[in-house]
Amino acid sequence: MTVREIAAVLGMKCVAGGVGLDREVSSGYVSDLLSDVMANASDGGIWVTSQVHQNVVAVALLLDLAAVVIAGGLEMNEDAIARAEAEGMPILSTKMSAFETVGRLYELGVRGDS
Amino acid sequence: MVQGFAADLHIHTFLSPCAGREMNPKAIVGRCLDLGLDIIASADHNSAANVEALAAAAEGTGLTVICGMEVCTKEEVHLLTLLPDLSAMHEWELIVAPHRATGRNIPEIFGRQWICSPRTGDITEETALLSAPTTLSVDEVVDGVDALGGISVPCHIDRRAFSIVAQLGFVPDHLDIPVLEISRTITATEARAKFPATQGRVLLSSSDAHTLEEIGLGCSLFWLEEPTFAELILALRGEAGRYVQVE
Repeated sequence: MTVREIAAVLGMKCVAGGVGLDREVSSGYVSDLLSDVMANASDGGIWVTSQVHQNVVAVALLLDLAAVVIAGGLEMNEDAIARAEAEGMPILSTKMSAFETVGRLYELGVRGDS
Repeated sequence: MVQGFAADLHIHTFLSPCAGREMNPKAIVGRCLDLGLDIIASADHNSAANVEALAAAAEGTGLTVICGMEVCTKEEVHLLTLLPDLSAMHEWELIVAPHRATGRNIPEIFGRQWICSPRTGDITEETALLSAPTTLSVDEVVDGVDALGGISVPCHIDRRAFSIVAQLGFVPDHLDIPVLEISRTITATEARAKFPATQGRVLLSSSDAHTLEEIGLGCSLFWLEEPTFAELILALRGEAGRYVQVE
């Protein structure tokens, strides 16, 4: 599934990086510890978090993730949005909790790297 | 000419709910003098309500008290904020206070929070919820403290909890962060080998004392002309021949 399809099915809003929406999502990861994400998430993955700092975008770019989902209706920092937009890293926003978001992604067939 | 001053810049008073009840300003000053410390800073969570009492307790003793507060940001990063004087600290507290978590402290769960009056020594209870993260971001804290002439030091970067390196993966380049605090469980050499963020930055070792016995267990030697805030800032930035020496 592409990031665009996931966003459409789950009613997520793309707040930045729309140019990257057609990328295929290969796996999923959820964590709010950026050091943990850096160590364990995989390229092409979709990352669910409630961190909104611009380091989120840097980590997503570093790992070449497909997209980041900001859960719980939190607003991402403006500088982070600007960076994601400039780099084409899709940032999806949802009011759903991280738990609910991950559950829905799993239902859609997204899996973690075990 | 610079000379060495022993400093422990991370000490909790009994205002911090997690600190021992014996951590009243007078007892802290007494312990610091026994240990031969020259400079200390208070580091209570999201409040500086005991800074004045600590300064008052140290008056005339030769111990220099720096105004400090350990702010927990919304990313759950602990930043030691050091301000030039009581008036700047008061301004900083006015900025932080509205960003504290809403709700009241639950002493049975988090611990008691005591404020000591600098004049009478009377103890009152702080009911605000100091143990939870504020709604201020790392960037807002660093910029806000800079604007008041102070400095922000990411705390215990080698620990898993509340460390900027753990929470944010690395120290953002755009921020004015010239110095990092390491906990007493790691040496400067180990920290430099383990954490790339230490490259090009000054290291500070402090005790993060929550009890009298822990004071001074982590400390740093500051090489300054005199024990003032202006000199301390130079050392924390590694400027003008002032520097910090850590084991």
